[in-house]
Amino acid sequence: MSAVSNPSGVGNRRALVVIVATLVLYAASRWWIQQVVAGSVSAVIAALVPLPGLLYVYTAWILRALRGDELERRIALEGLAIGFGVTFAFVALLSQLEHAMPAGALNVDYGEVALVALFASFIGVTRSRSRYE
Amino acid sequence: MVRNAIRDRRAARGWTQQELAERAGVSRQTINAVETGKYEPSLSLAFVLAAIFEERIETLFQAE
Repeated sequence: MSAVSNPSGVGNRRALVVIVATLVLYAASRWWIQQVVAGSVSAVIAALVPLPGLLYVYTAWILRALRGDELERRIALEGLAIGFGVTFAFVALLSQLEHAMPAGALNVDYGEVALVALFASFIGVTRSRSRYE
Repeated sequence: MVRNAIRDRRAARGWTQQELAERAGVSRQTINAVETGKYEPSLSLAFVLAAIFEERIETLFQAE
């Protein structure tokens, strides 16, 4: 059997670079959207700019979990469990607040929900990995 | 809880955690977590480790 590569180290740094690059692309896309007319073809194209980065991050996440050994898969699962739980609670709370406040007062968009999911999962994976070190 | 004798057996052969990890097909982190008792391996990994050390699985792993 061949050994599983070290999941921390180079792999982690590359993943962090890709995630940061995708976030930068996302922010650039948002800036571009604000420069063009809403509903125009340009706006839709600008909105889709981060798609390759998002697909890359998603694919890399899945492949990493599939190629890892049993401990690495458990760490990924525990990270996702925390990420899902926190995001679920966040969205459920937002829904309640939306009903409790006047229309438009909350001013939270889907991008902020995505960021909560990303960071909660990252914290979950980091916390889980530290438990097994 | 399950305690194991992986560290003793590995040390007796003069292997590093990385060498044992390569033989078992897992990461060094997994071997370290198993040795320190922070992670209980799956049955299949336990059998692989027992085969590597040429021992019966119950001599390598014992319930506390």
